[in-house]
Amino acid sequence: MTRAALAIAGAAVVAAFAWFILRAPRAPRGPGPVEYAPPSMPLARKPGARQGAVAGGLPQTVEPVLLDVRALPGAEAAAAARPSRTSGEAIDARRDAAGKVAILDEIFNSRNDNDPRLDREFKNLTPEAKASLRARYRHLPPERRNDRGTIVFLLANNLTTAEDWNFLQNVVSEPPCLSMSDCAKPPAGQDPEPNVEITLVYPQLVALSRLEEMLRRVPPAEAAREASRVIRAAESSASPIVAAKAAQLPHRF
Amino acid sequence: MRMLSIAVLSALLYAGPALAGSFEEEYAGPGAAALSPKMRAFREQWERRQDDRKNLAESAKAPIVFDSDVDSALQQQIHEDLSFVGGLQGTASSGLHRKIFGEMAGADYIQFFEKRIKEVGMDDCGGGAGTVACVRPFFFPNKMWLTKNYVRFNQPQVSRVETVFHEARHTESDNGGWSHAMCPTPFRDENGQDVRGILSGTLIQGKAACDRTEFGAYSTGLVMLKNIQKFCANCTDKVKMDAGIFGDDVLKRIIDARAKTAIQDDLYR
Repeated sequence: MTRAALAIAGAAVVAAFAWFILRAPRAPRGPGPVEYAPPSMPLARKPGARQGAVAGGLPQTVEPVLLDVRALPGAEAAAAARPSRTSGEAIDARRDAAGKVAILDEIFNSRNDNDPRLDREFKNLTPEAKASLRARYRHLPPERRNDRGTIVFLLANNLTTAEDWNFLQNVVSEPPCLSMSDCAKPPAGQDPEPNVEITLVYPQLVALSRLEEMLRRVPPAEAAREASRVIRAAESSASPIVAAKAAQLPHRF
Repeated sequence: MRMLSIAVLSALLYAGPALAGSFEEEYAGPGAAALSPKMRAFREQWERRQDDRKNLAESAKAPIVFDSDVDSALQQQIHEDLSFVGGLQGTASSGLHRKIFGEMAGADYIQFFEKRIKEVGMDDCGGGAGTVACVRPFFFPNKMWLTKNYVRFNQPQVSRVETVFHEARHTESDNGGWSHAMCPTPFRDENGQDVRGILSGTLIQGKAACDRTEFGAYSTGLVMLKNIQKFCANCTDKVKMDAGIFGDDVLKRIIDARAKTAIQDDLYR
């Protein structure tokens, strides 16, 4: 009888604990799934909106995608590094991140690099927004050189964490894109036009260009060390243009 | 004397098509060295449409006439890119810029372009998978051809714009089309390394991919881009960065020391 009572009590404790765990707010452990088209900012597709290189095909419009930033490398670390937040703050951060990506996709679809929102809307990015942009970068086909380079540009203007620097290092270490139609295959025929050759290494050149700009302004020692690490990685690039550009930059501190 | 005249005349008659052929080859690729049936058809079509074009060119609503095979996506893209250029405002402009374009202002850019390009067609430009645009100035002095890559490639906007202004410069047949100069042999960069095609790895030396003057087609693009980078008052930081990235790459193609110094004095000091 006593044994049965103890078993029942034990089961109740276990159930209560499980109930407590399941109901606990998730925000401090990382943001939830981010949908690119939040209710407050629907992805309006303009008539005739287009998007550039898709392997072997004609331009296509960017489609909204569902991403779970909790699954992204570094998102947990970023979440753990900051003070725990209320669930309301976490929801706001997720909404903000989704809004940034939605704006970016609108700009991609317009093919207008002179959209003033590029200067206005991507300052002081939150960790969630940066994680979402990194995810967007990985989700884009590698042939979308301008779009990928745009994300590098925005993230390189917000370098604050190890994740940010690691992203930049990964970008400059990418294998060369061989063709605008298919990065994995060299194009048939003669060399492409000079501008196309530069576009093939555009994301990498953007990363180095931003570092060059940063180094010109004499950054704090820690940032300079991280920049040096990225530049050294770029010097080992299989792309001669990237390696040559990196070799021109100051990288010993 | 009469014999000499006949000899000179004969030489011109023979050399004329050969010279034209070399330009054809330069801009349209080796496959178009002779006037192919397709080119002849283009030419005939172009001649038939001259009256229409004159009427349309006078209309402010349609300064550029598109061939019927230019799809709407390409038309829209060129309009949007010219609209971008037409809206640019600069705080200043360099000396070379004033000589080539006028002030760093959208209206001057559009005037430069529309004075040279009145028709746009679609073609593969004989250049393989990486070609975006071409002109054939000695056959079609005011026409530019774009390939599908103009829209298909996901390029920065200033790169597209530089390409069409570079080609527009080539249409100046009274300046010999500002034809490219042969890159020297050996052709080395400032670090002493051979300049090669990025993808093929083949040497660029001996190829018509350089400029000998600060007014050539590559230089024109370079001057435009560096002025956008330095003086644009209503460009995003990305546009200015892109203008610098693409502009700086062109500098290595200026092979005449005097021209290079003129450009460096104008744009890099």
